[in-house]
Amino acid sequence: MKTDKLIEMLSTNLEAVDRRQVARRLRSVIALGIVAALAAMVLALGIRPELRGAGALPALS
Amino acid sequence: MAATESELKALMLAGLGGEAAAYRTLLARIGNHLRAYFGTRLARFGRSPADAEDLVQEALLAIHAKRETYDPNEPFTPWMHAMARYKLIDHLRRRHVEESNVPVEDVEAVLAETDDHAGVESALDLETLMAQLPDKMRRAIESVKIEGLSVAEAARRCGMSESAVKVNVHRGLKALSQLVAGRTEP
Repeated sequence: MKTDKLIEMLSTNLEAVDRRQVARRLRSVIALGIVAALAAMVLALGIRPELRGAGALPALS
Repeated sequence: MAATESELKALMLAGLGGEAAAYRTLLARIGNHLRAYFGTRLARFGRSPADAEDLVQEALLAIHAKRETYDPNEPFTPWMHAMARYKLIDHLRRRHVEESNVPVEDVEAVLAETDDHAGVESALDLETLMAQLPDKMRRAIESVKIEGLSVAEAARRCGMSESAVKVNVHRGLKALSQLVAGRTEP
């Protein structure tokens, strides 16, 4: 294949690129990751049962 | 040197905005830079200009497939060079060349140009590569990128929605780039 032919193909009917696309995709993947991690934690370990009273305990120093 | 950077960057930004003519100019100029870059480095290992042309095309496909990862706030030449260097290392690794040392060059070396490629043809065969793509992607690329039909016309011909055509072209070019990168060397 000649390089000129490839260049011609790549630039024919060129689509504009949405420059915010990468940031947006990253944001949604991070959000999904946080939700999945929280869900996995709750399912695997459960929420600490005495959480309500945990703040009342004296701090260990 | 600074002129090359600002010219290439302006072309890249126009290309990202969808200007086909600017993008064509950009790819041709990148091609000339890459030809010089790969040519001198491969010559060290006794490789022919056709090998360099393979790499030029592989890198152009990769640059196209990854163009949305270019951050317009950064200079363009280092991004282009990083892609080229990665492709070179990949190539040498595939060929089991015992040279792990691919130096990061100075600016002059990166910005050299060669455009005497009129007669050189790469070993990549577009039709063979295209035949390996899934049907939908192949037809979308053939209609839109090779025959130059509009997205609407291609949608009618392939019986897909317009957004499906766009997605298939996009994914198809990515897949093509991966096929080229992963092909087994003769």
